[in-house]
Amino acid sequence: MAASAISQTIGVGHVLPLEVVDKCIGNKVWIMMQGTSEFYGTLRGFDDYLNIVLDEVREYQDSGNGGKRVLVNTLDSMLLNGSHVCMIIPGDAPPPKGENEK
Amino acid sequence: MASKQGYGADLRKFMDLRVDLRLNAGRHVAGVLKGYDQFLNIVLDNAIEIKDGKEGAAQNNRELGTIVIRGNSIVMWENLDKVQ
Repeated sequence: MAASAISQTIGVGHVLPLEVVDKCIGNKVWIMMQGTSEFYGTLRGFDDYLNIVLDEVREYQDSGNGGKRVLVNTLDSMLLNGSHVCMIIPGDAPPPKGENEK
Repeated sequence: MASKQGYGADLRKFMDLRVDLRLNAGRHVAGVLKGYDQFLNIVLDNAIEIKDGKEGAAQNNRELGTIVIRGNSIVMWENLDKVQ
């Protein structure tokens, strides 16, 4: 799956961050933004600015330390602006569910 | 140790060492540096997100695995392993 493909890239030595993102295309990723927003969905593509195309997206608001996590939105497809992307996490294991999620 | 203009930071010395990064918006992560580029985008392996500022309080940490961090959001960098 994504994890083994990524591990193989890393085994080589010096890894470019955008290579790792490239390996995730077609898989679930978890995007953390610079504020408290998080997006979990299928990565369809990205560009040099880390603008990201996601499908089947769930948007969460996470109020940080010990705080509540809430599912805010679900979207079929979106273009996410890369300027406030903070972390990209290849998602074999999905993030914690929101309080209001079933 | 001089770096040419436009090449960004030389992080070769820090490769495969544990680093602790403070990010914009109060996020705090630690992991093993596996790669970087000229914008300081970072690949971390075995990454954990540290909550409450205490790495020892393990129940507050989230394990993230292998992650990519956008260089734009890195505020502070600490090396947890000694640099040769």
